Amino acid sequence: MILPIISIVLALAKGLIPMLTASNAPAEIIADAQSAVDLFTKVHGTIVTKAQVDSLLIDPKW
Amino acid sequence: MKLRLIPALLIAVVALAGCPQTQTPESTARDAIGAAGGFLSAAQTTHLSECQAAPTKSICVAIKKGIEAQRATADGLAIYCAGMPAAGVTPYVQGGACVPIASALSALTAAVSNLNSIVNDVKTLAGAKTTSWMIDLKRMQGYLERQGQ
Repeated sequence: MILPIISIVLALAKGLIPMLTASNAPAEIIADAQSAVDLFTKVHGTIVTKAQVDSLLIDPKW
Repeated sequence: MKLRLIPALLIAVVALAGCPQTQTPESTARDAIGAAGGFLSAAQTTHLSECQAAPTKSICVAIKKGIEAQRATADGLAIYCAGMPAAGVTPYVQGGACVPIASALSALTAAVSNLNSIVNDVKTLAGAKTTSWMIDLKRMQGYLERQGQ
């Protein structure tokens, strides 16, 4: 059940990046899409480790 | 502006709706941390200039609270996973796998609940379409019930 969903979403997200690039979208939007793909890949590992969790934390900018 | 939130929302929806019901509390908490991170990061970028100029605006305060809640959840997870591993096995804080402490589960559940609630607030304030972030909490509550706690 989960694997087909993951595959579809990853394919959609990956397909979104060249589409955004081709339409001259702002770099930060493309970066967001790329980071979403990266994040998704990180999040769905099988074993939870501290390094993995720490890599998901974000820092405040104000 | 809405386009920038799409990837994070995409991740959140799949992380919360697509995961199997047999997920452990630690992987549920990790997914909540990851999904919240994706959404808060995008929201922070979207509202960066306005929040640097006026950090007391409600959306800015909510995003910052969300980041603090994300870290609190990671701390709760570290406590939950700080059980004694078998001899010769690396503990969680040093890079090993999670060894659950049952008595710390309710605190972790509360931290995830708080994180989801704050992220929902950010979504509402940001005008994003709200999805159910409470699925994680329900899963953890179900786990608690199964464990008879």
